[in-house]
Amino acid sequence: MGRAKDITVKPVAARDANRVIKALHYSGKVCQNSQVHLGVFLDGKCGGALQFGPSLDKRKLQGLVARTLWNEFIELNRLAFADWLPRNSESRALAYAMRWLRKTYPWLKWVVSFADATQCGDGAIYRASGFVLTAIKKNTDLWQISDGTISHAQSIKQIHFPGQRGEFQRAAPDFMQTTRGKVSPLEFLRAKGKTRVILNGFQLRYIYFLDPAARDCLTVPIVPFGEIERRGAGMYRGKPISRAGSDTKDTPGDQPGKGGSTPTPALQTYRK
Amino acid sequence: MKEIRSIKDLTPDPRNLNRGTQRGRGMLEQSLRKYGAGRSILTDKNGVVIAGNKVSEVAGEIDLPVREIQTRGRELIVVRRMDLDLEKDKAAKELAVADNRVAQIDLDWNPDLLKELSAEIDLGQFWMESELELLSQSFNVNGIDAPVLSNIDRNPFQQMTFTLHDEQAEEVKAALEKAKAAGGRVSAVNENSNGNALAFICEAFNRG
Repeated sequence: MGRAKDITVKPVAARDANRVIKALHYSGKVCQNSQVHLGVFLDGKCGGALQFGPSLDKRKLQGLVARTLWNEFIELNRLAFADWLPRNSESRALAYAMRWLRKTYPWLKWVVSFADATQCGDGAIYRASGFVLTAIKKNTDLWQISDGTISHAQSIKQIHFPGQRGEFQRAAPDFMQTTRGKVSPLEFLRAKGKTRVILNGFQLRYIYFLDPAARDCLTVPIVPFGEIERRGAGMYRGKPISRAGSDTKDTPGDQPGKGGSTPTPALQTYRK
Repeated sequence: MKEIRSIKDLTPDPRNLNRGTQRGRGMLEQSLRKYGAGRSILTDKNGVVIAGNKVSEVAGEIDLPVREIQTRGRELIVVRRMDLDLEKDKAAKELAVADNRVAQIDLDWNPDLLKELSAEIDLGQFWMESELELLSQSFNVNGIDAPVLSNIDRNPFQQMTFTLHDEQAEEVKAALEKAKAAGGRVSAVNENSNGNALAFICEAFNRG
């Protein structure tokens, strides 16, 4: 484990975590609705951050684990680590973070997170940290917009028509007339004279059970990790990979019951 | 003090803060070969390179001869290229671009050495703190108390929005009024009369 055992994880202010995430995360963006921000420290310096908050589509995700109340799950929105942190810091930090969440918010039963295998990675850190894989989905929601930016479909309106209802109608007065009432992210883009390309790749959904009993209430099948390769969904540092011969081949081959700490390299510290 | 007669008499900076880049090195070599030496390099009195480590490396590889000018920094050394005319020569114009662009492309700060150097000199005069943080990927952050999160279940009310044409909206409004008049204004679970009326209509629709 080396010096990774010396890292500490503690809550930090949103503005500080945002600074770290913007500098280190491959997207350069933060998730606006994150509520819990954890800094990863070594020798008093912060070299990483994890951000948690409610899922955008909370209603849909709530049912993934039966008998989950509205505030009994949380999403790991962002995590990013500096290259100077020692090897294994990622899984060590995640283990600390999960322990801290369990202790601080004892009503939380599980944590959901998504690995972006269109631009970043397929979630090797999650697999090494005791998360279970519950979905591999061909990407439809991450779009490259014609202005060069990359946006999630659900963020399109917020980004291109910020503000209250009516803003977009002022910005594009014929919007509703043109779309005949259809209000969709694609229509919003069209109203701005922009187009989009759906990013090629996959999104993988992982769940970590803070309450081990919640695992029995999972309402969707656990997907074997081998399915990532079978579906061609492998990605490491933004490059599609085949598991065989990859840097992540030492991650567990099946779903672990408890958190592990198999060494994995940093996933999200590079920039394209 | 030994005279500097060739590149071999120079000592590279053992703690050069610029790691350089592969592309920059290629551009630098091409520039030196194509346009010759532009600006001078700078050494200390012992011949240790202060500025121009990459140039001296590449100049050594292509065997550029060296001329030493001794100075105490109280005068500006002007390198006057007698073979170039910026008005007329394409090469002069290209050299003007190359001089800036190569420096830009070949710059890659070494964060470890910067960190080391920060114990000896004040880097704050060259970088803002936020810039240094970005370079070193090391952030000055203080811990705080854990934020408060709600642990109560969701409020059992939902707001739903629909987009209607003006004609449809009139139809809906009329239906809501009719439903309210027919006893759909109130319910045991909700105090919103429009919501109750809408649910009243839906119940009737769903149950035939």
